[in-house]
Amino acid sequence: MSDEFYVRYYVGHMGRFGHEFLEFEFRPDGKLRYANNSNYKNDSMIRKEVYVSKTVMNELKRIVEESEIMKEDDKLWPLADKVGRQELEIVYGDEHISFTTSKLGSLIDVQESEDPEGMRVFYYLIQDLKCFVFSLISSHFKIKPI
Amino acid sequence: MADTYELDLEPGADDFAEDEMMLDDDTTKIKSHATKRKGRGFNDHEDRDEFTKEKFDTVEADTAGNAQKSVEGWVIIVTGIHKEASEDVVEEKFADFGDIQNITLNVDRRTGYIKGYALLEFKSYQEAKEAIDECDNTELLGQTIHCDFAFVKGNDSSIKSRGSRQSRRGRDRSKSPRRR
Repeated sequence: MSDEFYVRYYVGHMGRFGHEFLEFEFRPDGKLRYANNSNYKNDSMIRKEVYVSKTVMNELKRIVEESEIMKEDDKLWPLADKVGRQELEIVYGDEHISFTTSKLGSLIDVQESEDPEGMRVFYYLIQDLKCFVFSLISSHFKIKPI
Repeated sequence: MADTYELDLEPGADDFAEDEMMLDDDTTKIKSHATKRKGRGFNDHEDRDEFTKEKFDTVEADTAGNAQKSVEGWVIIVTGIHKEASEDVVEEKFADFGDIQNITLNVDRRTGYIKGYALLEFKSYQEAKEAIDECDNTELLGQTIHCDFAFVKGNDSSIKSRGSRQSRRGRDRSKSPRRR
């Protein structure tokens, strides 16, 4: 049961510089994979992977659990559009969510949406997850991941 | 999960595809166990090729025990940190075990308080190990903290190191099932 846990996040868009995106996932065995493809100035894609310990996975689980994201639903959230797309997929025990929405510029987008409470949960969770992943990747690889 | 492994007589070329397959099985399995599904992503799925198609970089550094060395040192994670803790408080707790090369103490984006975890980097394995052994399950500002290495040897790290190829899993190997 404790291994039934998976998290994936994607944010990206098709634009002037092609498909630019950031994506990461934590697999049940602790494999963290991170990719950041910014074609601006012909930057090449950053692709990193590392196994994280059980304690790291448990901390991730705590962050997800405390956010209460599994109680939310994306049905009223803005649809992905030309500006961009976000995807959040989490498997937690017997629950599996796969949410998609547009890029959210700021809290104003959240407040003006049809489900401000749910979107706020999503908005802050994404920030906390990104922060967690960037810290892990940068401490292991000594790169600035963004 | 596939619990049998193919004996690879020509290491190299197809290692990645094989790893991918085993891992995919793992993730696919837990997804299939889920009984409650929610979200538009189930009907509106983007092609993930660009993420999965190429190899990911890893740090080819030392390992010790189950721990994996990072580019510059050994990183430990501390969890259960009090929300009002500061970098100084955390640093003081771990200063006895060696020079802390780096400390990351992130805040909760909603509340502005400490999120509850820290990453600390030590120069040597010994220092990091001692810090973990001495501080795991101890108190900091009245809360029990947990300490562990942040990065570990993975399931497939033995596949990468040529020397241990033969000893990968101490049981019979047979052909792993092909993906349908």
